[in-house]
Amino acid sequence: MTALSIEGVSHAYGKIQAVSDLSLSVAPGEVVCLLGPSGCGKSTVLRLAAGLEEVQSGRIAINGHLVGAPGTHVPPENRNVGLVFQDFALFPHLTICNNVGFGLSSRDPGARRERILAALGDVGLAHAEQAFPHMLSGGEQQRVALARALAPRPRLVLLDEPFSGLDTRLREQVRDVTLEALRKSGTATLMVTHDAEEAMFMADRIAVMRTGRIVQEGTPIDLYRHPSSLFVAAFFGEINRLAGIAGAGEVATPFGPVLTDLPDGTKVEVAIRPEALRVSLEREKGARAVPASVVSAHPLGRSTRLVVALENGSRLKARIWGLYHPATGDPVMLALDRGQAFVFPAD
Amino acid sequence: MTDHAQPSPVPIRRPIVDRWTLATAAIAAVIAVPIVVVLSYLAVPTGDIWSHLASTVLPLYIANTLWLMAGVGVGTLVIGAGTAWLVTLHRFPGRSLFQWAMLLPMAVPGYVIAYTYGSLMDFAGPVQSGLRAAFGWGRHDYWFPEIRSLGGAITVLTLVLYPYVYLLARAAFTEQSVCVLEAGRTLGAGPWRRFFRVGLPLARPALVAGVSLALMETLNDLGTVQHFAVSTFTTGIFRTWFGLGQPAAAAQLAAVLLLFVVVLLLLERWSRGDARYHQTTGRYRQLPSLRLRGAPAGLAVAACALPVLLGFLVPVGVLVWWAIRSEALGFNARFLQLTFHSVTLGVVAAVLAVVLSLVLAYGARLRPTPLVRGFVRLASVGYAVPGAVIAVGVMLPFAAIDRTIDAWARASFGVSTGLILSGTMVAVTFAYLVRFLAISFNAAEASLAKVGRSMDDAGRVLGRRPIEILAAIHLPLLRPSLLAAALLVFVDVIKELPATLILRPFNFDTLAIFAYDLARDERLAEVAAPALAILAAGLGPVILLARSIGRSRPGHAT
Repeated sequence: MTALSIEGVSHAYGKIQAVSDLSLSVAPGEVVCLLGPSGCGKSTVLRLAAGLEEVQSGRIAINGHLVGAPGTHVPPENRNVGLVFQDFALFPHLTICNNVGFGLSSRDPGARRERILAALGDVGLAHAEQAFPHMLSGGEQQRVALARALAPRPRLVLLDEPFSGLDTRLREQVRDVTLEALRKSGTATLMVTHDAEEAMFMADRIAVMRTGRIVQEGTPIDLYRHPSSLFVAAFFGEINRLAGIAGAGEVATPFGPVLTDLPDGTKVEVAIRPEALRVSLEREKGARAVPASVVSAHPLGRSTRLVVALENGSRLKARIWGLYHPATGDPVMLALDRGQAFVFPAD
Repeated sequence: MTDHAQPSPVPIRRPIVDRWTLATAAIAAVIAVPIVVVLSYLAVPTGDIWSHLASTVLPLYIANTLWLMAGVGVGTLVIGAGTAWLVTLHRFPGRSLFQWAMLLPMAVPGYVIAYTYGSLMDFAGPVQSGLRAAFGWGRHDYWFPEIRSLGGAITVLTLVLYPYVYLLARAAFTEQSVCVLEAGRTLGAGPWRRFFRVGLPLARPALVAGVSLALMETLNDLGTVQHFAVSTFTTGIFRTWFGLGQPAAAAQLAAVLLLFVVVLLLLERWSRGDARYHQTTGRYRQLPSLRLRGAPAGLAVAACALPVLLGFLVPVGVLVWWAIRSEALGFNARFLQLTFHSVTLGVVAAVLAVVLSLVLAYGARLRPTPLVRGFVRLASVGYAVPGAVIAVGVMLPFAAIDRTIDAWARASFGVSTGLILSGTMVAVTFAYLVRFLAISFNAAEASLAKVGRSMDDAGRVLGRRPIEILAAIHLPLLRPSLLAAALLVFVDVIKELPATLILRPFNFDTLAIFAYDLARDERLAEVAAPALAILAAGLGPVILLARSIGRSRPGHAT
């Protein structure tokens, strides 16, 4: 039985079509990420699943029970789902303890308190139970929001951009805690984010959304290794785009032909990740390398980001490990890792 | 083990008529009754009495009302906008004091200032007596303006109503883009030019809104014009109802008065946009302020001090003097009883107004449909309607209902039920709700808007129904604002005169009624006790507003 199943759901706000014929399922214990740019409709999917929006067409079931279909609506308070909001939405007038206990229906104070402390303990905040939300840091507030969502033991947890309110340094730490708490609770999770790295970190499965539709679904590695479109490839990191035309199962590039199964004569774009370009100062033996010159170099710490110009004038972004300080105009050799070059029909 | 009992998710069919829509509709419908009743009298033929009114007093009512509006409009605009411009954009001695002190006259009801000036300025009053004594003048040796005149009414009403314009103008000047004003400065515009070419045009919507509010209060006034013997629509409605015993004709006068209000209301709605008159912006922004020295500084101080002196300190001084001079201070058992009556009415109306406002505001939040928005707007239109009009609109249908019930009871059981609605607390409380619901609604809506939507969503997802969320989340968060709203309604009820006068239960006197009765009998010295009590209550909202201004002052960055 699936924890959440969304079948052919479409949703419009007035004239604006937010979600179009979308289907998605989450298995018990699985973490699924909806990944997409802002405005692609991913938050709407979350609100539909929570019952905060009514289903206009299609159907949504939780644990095999129909909860939403045209003319049928189980209100959010009867769905037993947990939702962590982007702004955390902690109740400012309640202590952390009462925030976490807000969704507990048990009237037995002992059991109630035990459950609250367990939920807070899972996120490492048992000591903060008597504090008020404004006394906590952003990262702690996020963890309280998670504890509050998990305390009633929901079968499905929904996370709406849960880390976007945090600064980058906090994010990694809170992400670890969140993932651990989710795994421990064993609940099914649907998370929405626009950050591909975050999705890859958290998810068992990622669904990439664009303008209300899912364009590709798979494991993080699948999506990174085998993007089905230029959009997906670009979403998982910077890419270089080279224009070309398919012919005899190949596309000609400055690095030599790249294989494709697109029909002859198709206008294509070859997407190349920066890390797929090997940069060296001397010609490598046996490697098919082409000469280029450095346009700019930005040392970033762990790696250096280069912009280089090929002899035909086209500029490419490359990334190499370590700090590296070439001068503008320095000659380099570029070689392509063909496993990370993707050919797509041009838009 | 599960703490959260999982209800089996059986699909629920939603009811055809939504409860919240129904609730807002019901409130709007009830609140609109008096206004609809009065308007309907435009179509009722009343024969002789109306043509008699139209040919005799109606032209006078219209002329006086228009002159009053013109005078008060210009007066409040000049004082309100001028002082607001001075205190927001200039530095001079006492500026931070004037920022809030300019509001003090708001605490003085029009009829109270009328009683004090009426006594101060008349032939036997201290001003004229003093002049005669100082210069040895006789009765016919000098000219002195007659205070009991249209001009006198305009003057005293201006003195207590200019704070409406001041409040909105001040907020507008504070919110004006600093860059725009500084750009004006760099382009070489002097202070006067900046005021007339940049500041005023930008603040025009706020100024129009402020003046329309002051004019609505002017139309509402009964005590001042009656004391100064200026015949306007309000006095006319009273004379026709009580003097001539012609409720229908009084209702028709009320309907004509409503037409004036509709014009003002359109003007105000059109100009106000989303601004609210009970709240000033709480955030402080550094404004370019011009330091005044020497004579300009002295003029600025005088320009700000004069309205406060004349609109607050003088009337308060006169009242205190009366209180001290009169042997029996007037703070006796009778006074306690009046205070109890006033406070009872105020508390009942304030609590009901806040509860209804919360239903309206929360209903509009849960169901932001055009229909609900329309109901909410209809329910809060009464703030523009003069108390006398509302009173007529309440009295006529309530009396009819009472007669019907009484007749039915007599026919069926042979007993008389007497008055159930009219002439009881129900009628007068209902009139207060019609008139003051907008005040508490605006406060409830504004503070509810500050609570993020995700709070509601979080409550729902955690298993609470909307009504439970209202109780568990919104009520605690809104408590300070709702208390402030209740205070505003409470004070307005204490000050209210025309509706109370028509609708109060027989022999049920309040502080305002008592002051009015004493003033009509020219027993002015005894007015001091009730008037001072009303004035003290009126200081409550002034303090609230002054505090929000204090927060927006330099050094109080929030």
